[in-house]
Amino acid sequence: MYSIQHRSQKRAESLPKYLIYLFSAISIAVIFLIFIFVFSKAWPVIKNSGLSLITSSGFDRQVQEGFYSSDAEPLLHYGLLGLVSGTLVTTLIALLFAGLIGVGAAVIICEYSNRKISGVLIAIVRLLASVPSVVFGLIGILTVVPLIEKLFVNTDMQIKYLDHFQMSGRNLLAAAIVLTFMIAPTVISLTVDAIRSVSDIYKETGYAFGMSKFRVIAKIILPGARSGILAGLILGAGRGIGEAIAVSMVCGGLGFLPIPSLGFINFLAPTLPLAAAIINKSEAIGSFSVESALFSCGAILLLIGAFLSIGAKAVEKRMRKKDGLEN
Amino acid sequence: MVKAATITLKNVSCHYRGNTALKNTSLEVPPNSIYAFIGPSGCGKTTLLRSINRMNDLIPGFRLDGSIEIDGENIYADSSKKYVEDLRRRIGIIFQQPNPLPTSILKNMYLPLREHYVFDNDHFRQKAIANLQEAAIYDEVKDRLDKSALSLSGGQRQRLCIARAMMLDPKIMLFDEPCSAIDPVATLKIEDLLNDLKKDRTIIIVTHNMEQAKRIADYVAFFYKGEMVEAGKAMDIFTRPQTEILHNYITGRF
Repeated sequence: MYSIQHRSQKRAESLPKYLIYLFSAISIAVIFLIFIFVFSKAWPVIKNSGLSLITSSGFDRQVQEGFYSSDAEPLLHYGLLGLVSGTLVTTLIALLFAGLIGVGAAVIICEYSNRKISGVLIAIVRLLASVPSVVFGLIGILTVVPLIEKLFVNTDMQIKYLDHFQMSGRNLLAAAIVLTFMIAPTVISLTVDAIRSVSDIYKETGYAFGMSKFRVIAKIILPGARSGILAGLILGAGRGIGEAIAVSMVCGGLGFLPIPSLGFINFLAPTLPLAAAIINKSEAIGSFSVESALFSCGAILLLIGAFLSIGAKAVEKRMRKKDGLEN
Repeated sequence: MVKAATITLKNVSCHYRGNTALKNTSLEVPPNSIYAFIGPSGCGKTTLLRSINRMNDLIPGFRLDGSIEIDGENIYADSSKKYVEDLRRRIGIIFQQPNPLPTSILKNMYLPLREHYVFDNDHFRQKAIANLQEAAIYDEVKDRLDKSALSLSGGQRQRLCIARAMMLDPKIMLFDEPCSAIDPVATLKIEDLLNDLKKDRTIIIVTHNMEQAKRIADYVAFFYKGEMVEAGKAMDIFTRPQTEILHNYITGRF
């Protein structure tokens, strides 16, 4: 009697376990299938272009030629360096701004406001995180783009740099600003959670040694919240490199490769990150050449994302090692 | 032996948002002694202890009436941030839960110094090692100073915290039930340590453990329901209790 009950109980417990295994296996398989699908579609362009796919530029012109090339003799040589740099530069700038804004806002929410106010602020932040990206893009077009035009762009400059590009309010800076506001809510929410998980006994330690509130935040709370902040930045970076719609609305749509001698003017140049390029040129995807080129953009995005999360793990491991938390 | 500080409490009452935790307490802690606060939970002894380095100021709605004097200086006369922070750095406090930060042993030891002095590796290291030795934990950790403080046992963590609290050379050290979270052997080590520490410092300890108070305290104050019932030499308190409550408490009939 006892053993029968025991066995049926065991079966009842193992069913959910196997279901969980099954679903985990499916999601892992899906990730692999996505990689295989994207890379097989991108393969014609990757094979033909080789390393010059990411070391040369010229995508804007090539995509036009590719569209008109016949499917029997498709143009398969592309250079995406301008797009890669567009992705990395906009994401890095946005990450820098969003990191500063995000950590600062989280500190204010957790340490410098009372329970009522912090509750309201967090609700707003969560709401902001769920605003669809096309709305961010629209707000960008209506506010950020005209503002940049008014502050930085004038006719003289437009004439001066006409050789390089057509200057307008739709540029790298606008893309980075719009991205900043999209990433910041993620960074804020994760940092708030991380700060709140730092135990009160750690804070007391600081106060007991005569630290001021600011010093306790800087020396005890933020280091304690480090892994949460890092997680927020990684998610933010993921959103930054993958964001297509909002960025494509304000970026200017031209894969301009920054020229070091232009300095700050590079920020006023149009840009075209990889994800925005996929959106921007998706109308031309009927052509075999363009299809493979856009999938190669996707392949590079996947690789950047993978490197990003591996890199972040390595950074955290290194920091933990420095503190003696890991060997 | 260095003469440590005298602490004088005059008519101290502590309130939390209209709730009175401690009423009208006066006592004097002589220098270089161990003064134990005993009594059942919720009697106000921890509140009083944490008032001596003004940790209670961090609790919204806390108010203290009366005065606490260290060598004649009323520490509640000035409530500027600077004064309170400076006061806390002059008084070491050890909490019930050992609280090393999740970083290396050495970085834990440097924390208080870094806050108030310019970083000097040799000097900091020397001082950290001297304090770890004084806290009788150096031999156990000398090979892993760069390893996590969280790899230590509960008793070791608490001795590390004591060593860390000594980094700023406090003349007064407060202990809030320092042994309640650790095993008996580690407890005895810490009690030995307290006897060494009082040579140069004044020590106040809150404890639930009657035997511990008997073993180490020079003076004892007994608190009950927010009032100090009796205070005096440990010998007198334990052998000739004046009140029935204290008598019941020390004989375990509570």
